Amino acid sequence: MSAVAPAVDRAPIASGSTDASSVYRVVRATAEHEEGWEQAMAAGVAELAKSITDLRVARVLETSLVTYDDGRRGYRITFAASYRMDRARSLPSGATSTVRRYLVVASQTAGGRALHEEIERLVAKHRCEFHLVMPVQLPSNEASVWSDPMSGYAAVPAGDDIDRQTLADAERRLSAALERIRAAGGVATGEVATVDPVKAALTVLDRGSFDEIILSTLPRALSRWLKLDPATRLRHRTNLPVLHVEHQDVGDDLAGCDAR
Amino acid sequence: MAGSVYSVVELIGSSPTSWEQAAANAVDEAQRSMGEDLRIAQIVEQDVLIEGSEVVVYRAKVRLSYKRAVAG
Repeated sequence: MSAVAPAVDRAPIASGSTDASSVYRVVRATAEHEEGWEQAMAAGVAELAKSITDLRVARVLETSLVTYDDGRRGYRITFAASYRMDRARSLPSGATSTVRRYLVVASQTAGGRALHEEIERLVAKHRCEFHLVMPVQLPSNEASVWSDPMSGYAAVPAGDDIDRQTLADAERRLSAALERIRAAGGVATGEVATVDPVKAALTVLDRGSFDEIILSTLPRALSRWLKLDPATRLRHRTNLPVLHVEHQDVGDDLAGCDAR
Repeated sequence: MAGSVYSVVELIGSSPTSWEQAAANAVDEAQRSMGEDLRIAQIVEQDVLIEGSEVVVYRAKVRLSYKRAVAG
């Protein structure tokens, strides 16, 4: 069992080089594991690597041992890792080019035509890196919300099996969407998140840097998210441009998606 | 009357398995090449090398001290 809490240090570290400069951001995170410090470090690195692809070295800042009320031990490591925050990327030819990084938030619409058309448009304009975060709601979180004693219906609490199935389906949809982005010419990473879309986006932003957020939703009447108006909330909290792709024609657009 | 003088050496050991092994590798090497009777190794820095999303090497910088033979 492990837990990771990121603490982002926003001071960039600039390093000079021959003809182009590079700027790196240092991220500090604390990871904990019940078996040992090495395992904690591996968990912390895996968490950051979900959306940072160029990690090389992580330096240990603090090491500690936590004992809980029930006698369990937690091995904790606080470490610093750096990643490139400027947008220059070296090409195999030796030249550098500028890349734009997009955070895509999509769940049921991850395979939607409107979203992938937009992605293809972007890839045609410049080099792009996409990170797709897919918020899913676990059935076990929903079950307690509805039960109707009058009709005799009671929500059966969903067990681990149904949660696992939901996550497995989501991972599949995620892989399919990432493959499509790569086929279109973009660099793509992604992850499934079991929190609401705004929280999911903010968590990823904490550990990476992006130029723009693309929020992909169902038409207003169908989308559960839009009652919370995540686009506005994200614009407020991130100062990043937010592009809202609303899939209009559910049947056609979502032909590439799984029915949930 | 001369007091004791110690040399201080820092070595960086590495291992694909653990920091314990990395530190042990550094101490073994110091023992082998310096031939001193080394007792305490202080861990002064630890880090890891990463490839993709995996840790591939654990590194430990160890500080070792040993007594110099001082004349007089």
